[in-house]
Amino acid sequence: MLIVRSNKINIEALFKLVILLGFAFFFSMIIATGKALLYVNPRIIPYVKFGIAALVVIALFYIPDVLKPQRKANIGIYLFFLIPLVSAFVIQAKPLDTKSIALGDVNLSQQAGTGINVNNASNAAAADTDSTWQAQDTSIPLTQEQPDDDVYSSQLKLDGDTIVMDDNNFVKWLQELYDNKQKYQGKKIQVIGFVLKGKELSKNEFYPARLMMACCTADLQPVGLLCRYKNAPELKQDSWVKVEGTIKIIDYKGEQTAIIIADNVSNAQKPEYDYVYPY
Amino acid sequence: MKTQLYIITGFLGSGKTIYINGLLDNLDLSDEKVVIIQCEQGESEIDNAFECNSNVHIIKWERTKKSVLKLIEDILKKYRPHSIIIEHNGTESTEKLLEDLQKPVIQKNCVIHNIVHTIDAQTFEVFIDNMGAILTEQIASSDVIVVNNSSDFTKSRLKAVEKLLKTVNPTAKIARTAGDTGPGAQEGNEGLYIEKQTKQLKLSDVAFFTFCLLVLCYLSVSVLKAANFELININLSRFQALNTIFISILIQAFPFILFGVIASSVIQVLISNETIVKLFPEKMGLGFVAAIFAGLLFPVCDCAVVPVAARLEKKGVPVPTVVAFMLAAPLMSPLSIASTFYAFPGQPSVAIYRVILGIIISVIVGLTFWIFPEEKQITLNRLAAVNCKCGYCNTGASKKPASKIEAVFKHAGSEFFEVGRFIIVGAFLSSLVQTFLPKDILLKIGGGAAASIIIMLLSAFVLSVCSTSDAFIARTFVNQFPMASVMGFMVLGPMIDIKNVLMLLGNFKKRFVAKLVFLIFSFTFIILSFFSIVFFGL
Repeated sequence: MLIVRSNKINIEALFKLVILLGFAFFFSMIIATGKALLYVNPRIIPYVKFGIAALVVIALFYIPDVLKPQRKANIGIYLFFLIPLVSAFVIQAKPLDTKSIALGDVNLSQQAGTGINVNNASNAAAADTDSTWQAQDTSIPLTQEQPDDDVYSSQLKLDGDTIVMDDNNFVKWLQELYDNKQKYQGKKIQVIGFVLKGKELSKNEFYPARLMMACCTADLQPVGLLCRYKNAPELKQDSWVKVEGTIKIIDYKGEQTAIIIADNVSNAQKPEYDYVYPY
Repeated sequence: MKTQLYIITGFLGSGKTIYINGLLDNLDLSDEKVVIIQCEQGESEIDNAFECNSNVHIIKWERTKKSVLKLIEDILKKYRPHSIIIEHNGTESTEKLLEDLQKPVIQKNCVIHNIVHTIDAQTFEVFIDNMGAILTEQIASSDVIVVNNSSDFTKSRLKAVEKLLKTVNPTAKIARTAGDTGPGAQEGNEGLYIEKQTKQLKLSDVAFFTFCLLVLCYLSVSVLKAANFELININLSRFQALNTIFISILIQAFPFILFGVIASSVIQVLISNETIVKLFPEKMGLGFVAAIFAGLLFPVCDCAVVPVAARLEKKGVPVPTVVAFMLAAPLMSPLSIASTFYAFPGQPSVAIYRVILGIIISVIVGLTFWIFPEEKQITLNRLAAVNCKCGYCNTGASKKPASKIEAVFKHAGSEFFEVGRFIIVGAFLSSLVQTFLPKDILLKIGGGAAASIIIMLLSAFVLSVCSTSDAFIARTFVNQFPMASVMGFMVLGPMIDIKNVLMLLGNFKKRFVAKLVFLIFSFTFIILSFFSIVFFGL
């Protein structure tokens, strides 16, 4: 128990004020700078805005108290809040990669490692997004009805005869390629992702993967299509690449799966958005 | 040197004057002037020996005739005393007196040395239940609480009294006056009269300490950056990742907690106990139905529901109904249902099963609390309301709408600080798990149907972050685990997880939380085993 004395001001109220406004300021700052996307899904941002408003309003009501002296204050419990507040400001947010989250760690070399995880994730992610509710406009509330197929088909457009997977439609395309794979047999595809390899993959296989965030960084998981490329062994794990190739439906571990037969893999810039979102 | 103020509060007959006699004994009266201000006349009197001492002056005071400011000013002018002892009227607010003493004139010449509250152990338990706010306010603002007249108390009864005092005022020193012969009478009476400066910090010290810490942080970060980067890169990036995950959990949890505490405060301040209890039908069955569907109207994460549930219980809603509400709400919330649809598109049955299983488990756990009722209060601090500094709980309802709004937000604030620290600890533990526990460990364990259910339930407890992301996390297990156990993950996650347990512990008694966690785990296991046999024939 930490007890502080002052005859001039109300220390507890001061601490409360600093914490409430500190968090409100931090939240506003990350939203303004776009850093919020390193932490949470854009869909959470409206909630965070509500949080900012609530923090500020509560803080306003504490302002008059600061000048009402309180002789003894126990500030022990406020340390709980000050620690994350300070660390939020001092330690920069880091775009996570497979190295820094446990799922992509040691286990790349092991049978049940990330590769399989990715495989599932991609199936699962594929099993995910069925239509357009995760349209570019991220402000569509979760609860909105799924639009019908007409709207849907207008959303995932082929660019000429090529599927172009980008930040906005990555997960949608995974889903589409899982649901209606036959439709895309032999189509050209172009995708940017980081190189993800696993021991259970053959020498010429890798995933051009993206990290998918459902809610916040705590639930990141890699998703992507399996890719076969003759020079795959030369690709460096976690480096960003642009893959150009053709969709082929093969029987992979007993399941019909769409994979990419790559013609060309080149180094690429890291995309504008660090993560892709299922909605 | 500034005049030392001693403020003695306590009800008539609680031993204020006896305490003052003891205090006078401890002051050096040979060359220090002491003025005693008496607001009321009790049975005991200041010892004759002191009354005759030319350095001791006793002044009777009636608040209605003279203001505190004027009184103290006059005393200072007339006597220039070393100490002033104020024997305060037991039915008046200490905070009010302290406010009056904040006037610059008094501040310049006086300093409050000690605020002492005396209680009579014999009548204390009755008083605390009936006098409520006025008594707890005096206790809460004291530095020292003196328990008198406890000689015929057993040790455990005395402990109970002290525990109650600690709830109201965790920082005060609790002591008994000399001459009291109760169990362990003389324990901890050191510094009873003249306060010893113990481990108390000054604000300036804290500020200085914080500043040093920040400088240290900054320096070490820059040194690390300048030093061989490759060498420390890995550790640093792990640490950074940990922090990012930690903060991200807080960012998504805080809005929901704020929503929860504001909802709880609205219930506390604006809705009377009777109305709330009426909302939940008296018949247990209907009560459950109302409790379960209340979740639909309450579109929030599991973080928000705990403070609301605790509030409902305190307002008099039956425990089984509260339990059913608390467990069902996060699963019934539109957000969580929608996220399940999105996570398993083309399989609406998953979302439907999740909701149905959630309802079944909530009702069964609720029923268990009905059949085996908790005999004691399940929420913490029966005095929590009076301990709350929102200005509403203490002084009672004010009719003015403006002050009600203020009360809602202040109450929400104090609840936020109560609950928030648990979520912070919980979020930290979760982020440790996310950073350092490889998920594929789970996949390696695998095992039979029963084992896989247990594994999924345990991982739900450890991995669940927020009821809206549970469905997406669960989806990644689909290929390794039977559907029934993945379902277990999705049903249990929103009901109970690490941070949720910590939040529960902040609001409810340990016994209740332990029982609740046990019941949720057992019933989820039993029902999912049944489910997997019926639907999958495993």
